[in-house]
Parts: sequence; structure tokens; C-alpha cells
Amino acid sequence: MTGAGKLARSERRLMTPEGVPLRIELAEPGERIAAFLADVSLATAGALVVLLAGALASAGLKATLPVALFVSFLVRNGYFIFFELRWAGTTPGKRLLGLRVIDRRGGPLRAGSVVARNLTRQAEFFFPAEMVLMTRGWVWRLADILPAAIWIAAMAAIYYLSPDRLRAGDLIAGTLVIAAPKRVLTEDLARGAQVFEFTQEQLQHYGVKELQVLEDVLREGHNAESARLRSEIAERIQKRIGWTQQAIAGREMEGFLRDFYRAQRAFLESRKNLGEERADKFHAAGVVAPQARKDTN
Amino acid sequence: MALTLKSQEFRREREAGWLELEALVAQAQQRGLKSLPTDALRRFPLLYRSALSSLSVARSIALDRALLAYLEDLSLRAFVALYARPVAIGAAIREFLARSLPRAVRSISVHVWIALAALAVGAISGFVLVNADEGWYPVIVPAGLAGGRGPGSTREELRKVLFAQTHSGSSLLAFANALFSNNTLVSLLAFGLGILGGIPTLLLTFANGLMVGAFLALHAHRGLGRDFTGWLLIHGVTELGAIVIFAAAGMRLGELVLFPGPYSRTDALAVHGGAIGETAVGGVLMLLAAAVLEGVFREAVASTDQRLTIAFATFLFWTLYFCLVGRR
Repeated sequence: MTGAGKLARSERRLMTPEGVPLRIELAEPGERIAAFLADVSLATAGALVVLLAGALASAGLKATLPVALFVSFLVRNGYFIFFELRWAGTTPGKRLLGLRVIDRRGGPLRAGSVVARNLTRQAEFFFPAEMVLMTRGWVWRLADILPAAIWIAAMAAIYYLSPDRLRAGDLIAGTLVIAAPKRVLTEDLARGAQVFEFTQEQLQHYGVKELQVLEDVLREGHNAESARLRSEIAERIQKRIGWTQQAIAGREMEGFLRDFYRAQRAFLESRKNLGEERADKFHAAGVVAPQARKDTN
Repeated sequence: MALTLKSQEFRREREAGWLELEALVAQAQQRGLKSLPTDALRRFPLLYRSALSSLSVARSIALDRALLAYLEDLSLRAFVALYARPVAIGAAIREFLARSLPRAVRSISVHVWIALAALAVGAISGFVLVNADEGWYPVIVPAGLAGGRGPGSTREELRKVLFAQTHSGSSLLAFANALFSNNTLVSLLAFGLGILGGIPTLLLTFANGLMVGAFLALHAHRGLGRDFTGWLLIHGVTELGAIVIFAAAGMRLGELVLFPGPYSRTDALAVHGGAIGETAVGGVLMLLAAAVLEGVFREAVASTDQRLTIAFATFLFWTLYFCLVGRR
């Protein structure tokens, strides 16, 4: 469904070089964390393979903590930077969650930005976390963890407080993480032959908002529940517009709603062309009924 | 009402173009822009622009919400396919090293000079203070970093540290240890604290200089001034250079936060911030180089003369690189 009640992401405008602002939807924090975890798991697996191979190849190389941290540093950053460059702003984790890194100014994503945003992640999260690992091995005291924890919390605060959901790396690199769009072109509801005719007066009642709610209802799937909803709405519309032309029952309700949608849209479009926006059913708050409106004209 | 809707007509006229663009975008996303035949490649930008114009029209006339949402998405997808292209990694690295990095550093040369000055003033002050009274030493150098070296140390003890062979087994281990040392943390802090307006960055750089000066005075008192200089500068030129670079980037960050000009703060960072990120990446490379010099070369090269030669060579290298490479 294209429903209005669906998860509403934060939307922003991105100015293209062509001068047309595009609507973009910011990635949700949960999605970014999930993508991050997926990517880090993959990269860590890669680092483990490298360490094991290294240990097997040369018996002298012991996987001490600093060596392990360094190898995982190389593999992790190599992983992120490689994919974000080769896959144009996505990584396996980001693809899984449908996310994408773009340039905040609407230009091409630069290699320098990709490297900067990933190395900053190192300073935001991994270095403080690893400093804790380095200082005390596996036995931590609160005093050792606290500075790193405060640092990571401050970085998280930057992310949550920034208006466009930018982590420090995005701020510095001039990037933005968006939810990749994937809508398909659906059928035009105004298509098809008109069976029911409406008078001008019957189309005075509703505005754009109601029209779009009706659109959502019509685009919903076909099941018993939605059929019941549609016939209920059809009855309510008939009551409101004073439908007296002919009695409609059962299966015809669907056709009636579609025809009403088409007629209402045609009416509102022609109004719009004449410069009169009708946002919703309260567009003429002062005017109670279409009849009264006519009299004043 | 037999008339066709304006929006319906609009859609019928342009639908084919949208669907064609959608197919091209899907192919470009799966197999890359290069996989498109020449003819399609030529049509891509045209279709993209006509989709943008459809979007502009739809925004003003269409009451069909699904159509508008589709056009918004299609335009964004085509935009991403056109502008967020896969980057050839080798070419990107060459471009970065041969042009972007030295240019980025030169673009914030004022900040580099300020950071250098803070470091130098710190070093001189540290030297002067400890030279006059070694009682200052424990005040300036935290016990954790002194590594047991202090006013109580004899000449022999200090000498032993300067020419010690601790990591003779594994050079990778020595490298990793050097990388995760205090200076990495100082560099990153100097950079990160820049966001607070640049003053903490300056203080941190100054404090780091103080420590260098204090160490130097301690060794100079025991006739080891030259040996210590060799021990420090063989990697120190690169490592202190990295600190200066990070501090300069941090100060620029602070400047943009304090004085974003005609932009909002985040926009100012997006517009002018490229040089900051690139400089910081350069700083990371310098830290890696410093770790190699400290972990591997300092142990292998035990003579002070040779250490000083390497130090001078690295100094010459970084100076020439940042001053001359990539000039237009």
C-alpha cells in the first residue's frame, strides 16, 4: 500500500545541478545501525581470515592484540572504502537495508569524501573502543572505560542532534545517507470508462486531501476487509454529496468510487488551473453549502 | 463527463520516456553505467532531464499522489545513477596523492603555520622551564608517558632507552605498538576537538610541544641532547607533522563552526569541508608512515648520525611534497 499511515521518514530537499530540487528520505538511525552491524560482521570475518592465514603462513607471527587490531583496522577500512567507491556509495550492509551515501551538495560522490567519512568512523567509534582494549586487556575498570564511553556518547549526540542525521564523518566529508528509492509506476486510477456521472454541485464537497485519501483506499489490495472499507466510504460519500441518481449496491460500489475519484480529480484540476487551490473539505470555511455559494455569486 | 483529464494526458504523453529511463537506471545500477549500449548512454541524460521537467510539471498540476511519488523516486534514482558513479580505485588514489592532498593542505596553510607555531612555542617553553629547574618535568610529562624517565634518571638509564632493542622479534608488532601510541590519540583529539572552536586544539598542540621540550632538556642535561634528537626525530618529523596537520584541520573545522559565513553550519562544512577531510586523511597516512619509522627503522638504525640523516630526509620529503606537488 502507498498508505499515508506508513512509516514516515524525515524528508529533505536536495538541489540537483539541473536546478530541480529532489525529495530525499533520510535513512533511519535503526537502519544505519543495522547496516553498520552487518558490514562490521563481514569485515571482521574477513580480518579473522587474514589473521588465520597469516598465522598459518608464518609460524613466527603471533596474533597479539595490537597486531589483531591493526589487521582489523586495515581490513575494515579497506572493506568500507572499497565498496563505497566501487558500488557508488553502497556497501553490502547498506544494500541489504536499502541505504545509499550521496553528496550533500547534490554533486558527484568524491573519493576523498568516501575515505574521510570512513576514517572518521575510526575516530568516532573504533579507536576509543580499542583504546579500552589496549589499556587493560580483558579486565576493565570504570575509570578506564569512562573517557572512551563519553567520547562515543558525544559522537552519538552529534548524530542525533544534527538536523540532517549526520554523523561526524558525514559532517566532515559533506555526505548524507538516504533511503534508496524504489517505487514503481502504478496504474492511473483516472483511466477507464466513466459509468456514473456527477453534477458540479456534487463535486463541491471535497478537497485535495480527501481525494488523496480516496486514492490510497483505492490502491489498497483486494480483500474482504478493504472491500468492506470501500463500500462504507462509498456510502458516506453518497450521503455527503447527496447522491440521488441511482441506487448502487454490492459490486458496483467499487466502480462508483473510481468514477467519483476521476470526476473529483477532474473537477479539482480544473479549479487548480483557474488558480483556486482546494486543500481539503474546509476550503470554504465561511460557505456552508454549495447552494449558498451560488447565491452570493 | 467525457473529457480527458489534463493530468491523464500529461501522463500518457510522457509515460514511455519514464519507463525507458527506469529500465536504463535499473540496468545501470545492476551492471554499471558502462554496460549500457552507446545509444542508450546518449539517451540517458536526455531522459533524466525530461523526467526532471515532468517532475516539475507534476508538482504543480498533479493531484495523483502515487504518480508524484513515482516521479520523485525515478528522478532521484536517475540522479544517483548519473552522479554517484563507481570510482576507479587506482585512479582515485593517484589523484588524491598527486593533487588533492597537497592542495588541501596548502589551502589551509595559515592554520598549518599557527599549529606549527603552537608546537614550537610549546617546545621552547618546555625546554626553557625544565632547563632551569627539573622540578617542572613531572608537571609537564604525565607519569604514564615518561616511561620511568625523569629527574631521577642517570645518563646510563636514559641512554639505554634511546638505543633499546625491544621488539627485535616482530616488526609488525613494533609497528602496531607504535601506531597505537599516545600520539595517535593526541592527533585525533586535536582534530576532533576542533569542532569546539579550535582553542582546545591549540592547547593540545602546545601541550604536546611542552612535552617534547621537557624531554629534550632532561636529556641535554645528561649530555644526550643530540642522541635524543636523533631518537625522537627519526619518526618525530613525520609524527609531529601529522599532529600539526590534524591540528590545522581541526582549527579549520572550528573556524567553520564559529564563522560559517552565509551558510548554515552544516552547509558551510559541506561547501568548504572537503579540504578538512582530505587533510585528515593525509594525517592518517603520515601517522602510518611514522609508525613504520618508529617501529621498524629506529630499531634497525642504532647510530645517531644515521637517525638524524633519515630525520632530515623525511623533513625534506614532507616539505617538498606539501609545498610543490600538484601545483597548477
